[in-house]
Amino acid sequence: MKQNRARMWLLPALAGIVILTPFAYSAGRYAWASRFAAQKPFLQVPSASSQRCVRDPEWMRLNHMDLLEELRDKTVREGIRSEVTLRSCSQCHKDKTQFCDKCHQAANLRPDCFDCHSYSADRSVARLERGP
Amino acid sequence: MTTATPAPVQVEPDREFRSRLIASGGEDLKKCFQCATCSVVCELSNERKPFPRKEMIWAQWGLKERLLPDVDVWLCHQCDDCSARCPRGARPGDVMAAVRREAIFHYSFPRWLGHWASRPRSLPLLLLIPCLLFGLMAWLSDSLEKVLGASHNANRIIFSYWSQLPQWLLIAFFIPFVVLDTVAMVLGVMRFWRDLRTCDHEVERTGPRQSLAASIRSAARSIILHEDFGRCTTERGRMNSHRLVLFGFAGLLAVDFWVLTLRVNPLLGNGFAYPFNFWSPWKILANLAGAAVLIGCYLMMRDRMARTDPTGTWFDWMFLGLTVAAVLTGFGCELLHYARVDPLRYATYIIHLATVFALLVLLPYSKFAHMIYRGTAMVYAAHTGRERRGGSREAE
Repeated sequence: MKQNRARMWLLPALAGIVILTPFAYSAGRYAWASRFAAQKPFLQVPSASSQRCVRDPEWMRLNHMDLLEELRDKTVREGIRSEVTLRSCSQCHKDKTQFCDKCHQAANLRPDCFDCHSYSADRSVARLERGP
Repeated sequence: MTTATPAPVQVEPDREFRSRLIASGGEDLKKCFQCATCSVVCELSNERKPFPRKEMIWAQWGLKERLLPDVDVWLCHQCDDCSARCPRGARPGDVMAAVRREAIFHYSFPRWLGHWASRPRSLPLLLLIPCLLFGLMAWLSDSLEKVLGASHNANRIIFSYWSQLPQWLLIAFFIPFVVLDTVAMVLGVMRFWRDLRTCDHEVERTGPRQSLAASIRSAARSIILHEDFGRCTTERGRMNSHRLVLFGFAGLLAVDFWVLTLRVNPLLGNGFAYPFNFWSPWKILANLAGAAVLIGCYLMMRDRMARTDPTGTWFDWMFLGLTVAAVLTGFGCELLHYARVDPLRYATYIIHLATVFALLVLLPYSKFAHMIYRGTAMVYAAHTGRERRGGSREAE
């Protein structure tokens, strides 16, 4: 009977460990962050502080992908080019690794923007010049 | 030594109640001839006034007022040892299940909702109403946001699966139903507990009485370890599928709790809070728990289909079906998200939310409610000293 009782505990104990691990992980991360690192904003502060973004930051956080897709469709289907481009984003948010990538990596997202477009201003100018 | 002659009792059979039991799974009820094989072979029954024999004759007479508040009905875990050994094929296990179903309807608050939800023709409406509500919410969410002055949290970035159904809107929609559900369950349990006392004379209490706190502890222990399921022989496989579903639901509940608190959780710093990375411990837990529920449900369905005898009622199948639908659409949302199949993704999401809504709203009125009533009965049995066969657990 002893062995049987141990077996009975096995699955509940395993389930308990699996369920509690994320709580422990989050608490541990919190403790670590508050002890060893100052609270920093997640994204790098845009360098050109005088210039305002095309929309307010909260809106941009949630809807930038829709805005970019809308502008893309307007450009390629109707030929209406906007002032707002990935290049204009990069004028303030200079470092892609500190801006786009941080959230996308955290959320396991692979946006296809950068399959064709280069974020850095210099290279995108070079490519534009090669156009017809 | 004088033995008191029992006073004659006039039995008033409730034929309508009996027909309901027969209609909802107890169709072989009338075959019982009170041989007591069932009570002898049952591993979970008691030594004094054991079940399910007495429940069988009560059911034959339609004695509703004895069956509904009977604690023994809920101590039964439907191992089906009785049904397998019954020489007449009266399937006492199925009769006990039918009584439990009636008890859930009887104690649910409001009662009409339980009866309404139990009808097969209610299901389309039950899924259509939330689908329409979510569609309406998605359509109106921008104007709602302006009217209510809700704003996206400035400190934390919380993405919603669909920007038309932001987190605050879903929370604002679901929380009132959770509160109503909780109120309904508390009222149901209070009614049940009050009525349990009226049936006290029908079950003898020979075991030690425990304090309420100790009874709750022992019931919780028994549920977590599946001690009662572990004594079953005929339907032993049910223990593992039930474990998977129970622990899977517990895991999903933990993740839900975490996601609900994203806006106010002090453990989260400012910055990116949601969605989770695929390798985030929360995401791993959610995926594992969803898989556990799915595998458990699959095993239950397989076992139920493999039975040569009646294969369960609408009541059983609807609960199982809704659970499977909720988990499958949940995984569907995840896969379609990674595959970025956009219009289909939102449609799947709406169906997922509708099935979750149906499960949630039906919690006190469907088979889901077995957890609160069986839990209450187990606590009551320990509290009042209704001893189980085999003596106390510690003696094993």
